[in-house]
Amino acid sequence: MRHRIALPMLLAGACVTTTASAGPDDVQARLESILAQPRYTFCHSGDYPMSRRDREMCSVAKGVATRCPAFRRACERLGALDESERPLEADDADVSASSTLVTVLLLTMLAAFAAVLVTAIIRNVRSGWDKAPEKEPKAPESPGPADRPARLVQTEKEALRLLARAKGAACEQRYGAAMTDLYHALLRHFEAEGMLHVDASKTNGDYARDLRVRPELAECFRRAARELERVDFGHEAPTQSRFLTVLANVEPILTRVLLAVILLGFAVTAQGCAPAERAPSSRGLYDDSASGLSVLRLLVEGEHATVERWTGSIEQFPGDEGEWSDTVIVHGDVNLTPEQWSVLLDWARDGGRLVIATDTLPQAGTIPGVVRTMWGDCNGLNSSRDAKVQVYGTRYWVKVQGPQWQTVVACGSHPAIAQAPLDDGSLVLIADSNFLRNASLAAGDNAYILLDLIPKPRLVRVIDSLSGKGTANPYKALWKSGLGAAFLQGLALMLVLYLCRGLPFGRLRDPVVNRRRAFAEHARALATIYQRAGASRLTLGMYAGWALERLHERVPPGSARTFNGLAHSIADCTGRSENAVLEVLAEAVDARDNAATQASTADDLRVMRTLGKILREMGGQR
Amino acid sequence: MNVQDVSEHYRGALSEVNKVLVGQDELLDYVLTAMLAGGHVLIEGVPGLGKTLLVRAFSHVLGAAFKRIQFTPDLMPSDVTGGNVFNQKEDRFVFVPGPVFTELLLADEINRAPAKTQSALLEAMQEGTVTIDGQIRPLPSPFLVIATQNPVESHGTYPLPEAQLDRFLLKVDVKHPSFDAEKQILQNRIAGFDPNQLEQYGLRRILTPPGLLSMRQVVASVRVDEGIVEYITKIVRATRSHRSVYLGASTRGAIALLACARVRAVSEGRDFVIPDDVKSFAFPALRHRLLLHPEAELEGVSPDDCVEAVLRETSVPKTVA
Repeated sequence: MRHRIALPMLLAGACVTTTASAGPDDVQARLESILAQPRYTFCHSGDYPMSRRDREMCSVAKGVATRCPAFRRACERLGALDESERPLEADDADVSASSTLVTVLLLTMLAAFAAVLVTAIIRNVRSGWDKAPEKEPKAPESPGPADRPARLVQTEKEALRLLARAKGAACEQRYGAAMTDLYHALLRHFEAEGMLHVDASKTNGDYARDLRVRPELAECFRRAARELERVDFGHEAPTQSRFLTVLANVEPILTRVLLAVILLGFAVTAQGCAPAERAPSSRGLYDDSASGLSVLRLLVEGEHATVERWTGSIEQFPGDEGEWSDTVIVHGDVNLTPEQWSVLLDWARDGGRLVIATDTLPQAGTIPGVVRTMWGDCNGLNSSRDAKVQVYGTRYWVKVQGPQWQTVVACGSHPAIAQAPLDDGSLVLIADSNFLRNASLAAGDNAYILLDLIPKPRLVRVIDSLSGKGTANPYKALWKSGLGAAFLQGLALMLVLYLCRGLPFGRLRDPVVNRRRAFAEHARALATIYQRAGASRLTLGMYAGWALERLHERVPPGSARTFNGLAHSIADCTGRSENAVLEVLAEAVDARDNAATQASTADDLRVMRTLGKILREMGGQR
Repeated sequence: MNVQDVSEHYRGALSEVNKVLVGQDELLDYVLTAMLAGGHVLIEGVPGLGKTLLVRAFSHVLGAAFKRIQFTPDLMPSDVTGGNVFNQKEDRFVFVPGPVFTELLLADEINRAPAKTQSALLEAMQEGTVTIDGQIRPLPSPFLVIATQNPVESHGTYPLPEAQLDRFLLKVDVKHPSFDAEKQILQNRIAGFDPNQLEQYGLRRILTPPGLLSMRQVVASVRVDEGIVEYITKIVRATRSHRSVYLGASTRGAIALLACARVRAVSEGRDFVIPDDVKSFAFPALRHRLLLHPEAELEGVSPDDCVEAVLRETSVPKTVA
């Protein structure tokens, strides 16, 4: 049978409200009803997965034997009961030590990635330049556009999607289709890299020749193509082993880029997270694990109080809005500055109750009378008020100075939990932050001691490592979370990828090939043929015939009946010398009528240009 | 004999001939292919590129009989095929075989003889027989004609008729050897190489005429996929509809392309034909079968340009669409 601690009597001289709101039996009953909920798997599940923080809670396993036997068994299974015999280690490895390595890795990978990307872009652009100008039209024409009508073909061109499709087909044992998809994936990959151009008229030999500059890739391609040819053109059937052979050749090439991107992403994320403070591993007041705080929340809420996490900045505490809280619990891995402690202490002096249960105490002198946390052999914890009250915890104790401090729970002769008045308010100091966690509160009379420390609460606010991290601005939140760098780098990566490869979302379609040529191309091709044949005189003859007709149309009616009249009209209109016009017209007529005669190409071109100018001056081209 | 054996013999023969003929790998490959495919080769090239040496070297490696005819304007058909000559001693006509009765025949400068004489080879090349005075006389087997013609000189020549050209399985354009190859040839000469005494260069006899016939049987067993057949058909038909071509490749051309592709497959140790095999022989197997429009010829279009355009426009079976 447990006994109620006579705290009110012990603290009669102090200005602390010490009237307990519930008896030990009430607390006991309420605690058992809370822990009976199935969500507390650490109490009920024999294979409860123990996190590192949970293992620390094994120091109270002996005290939870009746309420949470599963937790005790889990601790025994891990052999972790002896954890209480030695000081706790740091929660996690310090990631800051690895930040230099991560930075070097990141910079190296970024530099390599940028170099590859720039090379690829330059190569693509240059290949585009090489292909853009067509030097001269090829004389031998294709069988004709009618033979190959332009059509819209749905073709998957994304190598990784083809690879996935191939694997899917292989799962359905359609190895023929799978091998074909693999082959296509490889070709499309090379095409995307600018190493070759996929064309329906190209054979595997052509592709292998395109890849000569990269012999190792050419060999991989040959091996894959050989297997496919055995199936397509030989006697072999598509089998799983053949598919795997091709896959072994294709997959490493295709996934190399993906792997680089994943590694880069990993490095970017690691770098982005490195400067950030380590996020708490538990979900705090809503964490139902052995190391969570949800039992605390439910116990306090059972007192008709509200428990919430303080997410705003400490400097603004308690804030202008909302209800004034009467109790604040500073818990866990918080590292407040002296100024922040000063804010909290000022609030306590105004009548608040400040419960300090941090992993590390602030510097000596920050909190009046509090020196430091100690660890040592104290033969268990004892209530300094009632020896029958069972308290479970580690062997942490606090070194305090001053007569105002009253020991509530002792570790030997040292206080493990102490409290002191502070002007109109009070301070409660708990040496071990694990005391407030779920498993600890399930042990012995720990829950009762807690509620006795904070009697009749109305609004309890918990300050933990996330407090002060919240912000109303999402951009600030991003930066404060330490993911800002990663976010920006991710955006930059996407931008560069977009510039390099476009947006391969959705099913890709080949562009419709426009096989119709512009009239200018035909004219240019024809001119090239005439140029090759040296047929400038013939060309001038044809042009002169057309130009003379146009000139006749553009002079006033009647004036162009005679050759001289035409020249006179043109000279009038253009301001040219009549003799010069006459000379050009004579040469044009001669060329028109005697196209077979020989003349110098330069003269023919001169006459043609002059005729063209006269035509423009006579009313522009039509 | 299986595919691998044929492939080894093929490579062995090439390697042996390469010992004496430097820098003409492609030519050697084509000639040996024609031998295995049972066809004849027309070599077009300027004099002095080692065509005679090539035939002599092959005759050594194959252990085949070799004869040469220098075609001239006054050459008569009987000078090629031979004829019945009256033997006064025996008081009867005796058949005197012409140089065509051999296994390897080099018809040098074939376009210098008139069409009548050229045509004396038609039956020999197609049927493997000659008919003299109504009597059909079979030629030795294997029988391979390697004809040459000079592309530069046109005076006093008689272009081969289409029917004659079509009988050649391949037409090979011989180019000048590369710088290194030409240098090697000169160094060989300095070292005392004599093309008339090939025996002293240790040319091994890799094949025998019966062995060649066995190899042909293996070639005939090579698998040809339906897609490959379609590919060949498309190529050949496309040559007929090409706008620069007046007369496209014949069906015999398609057969020639198929035969060469099969040999290429075997030479690479495969028992099936792939599109690359077809494509690699499209030029030598088709170029001499295309008759171009005069305008196209004036514009400088060559049969190779047409074949190239056709290949560019023809889809390869079972590849990326």
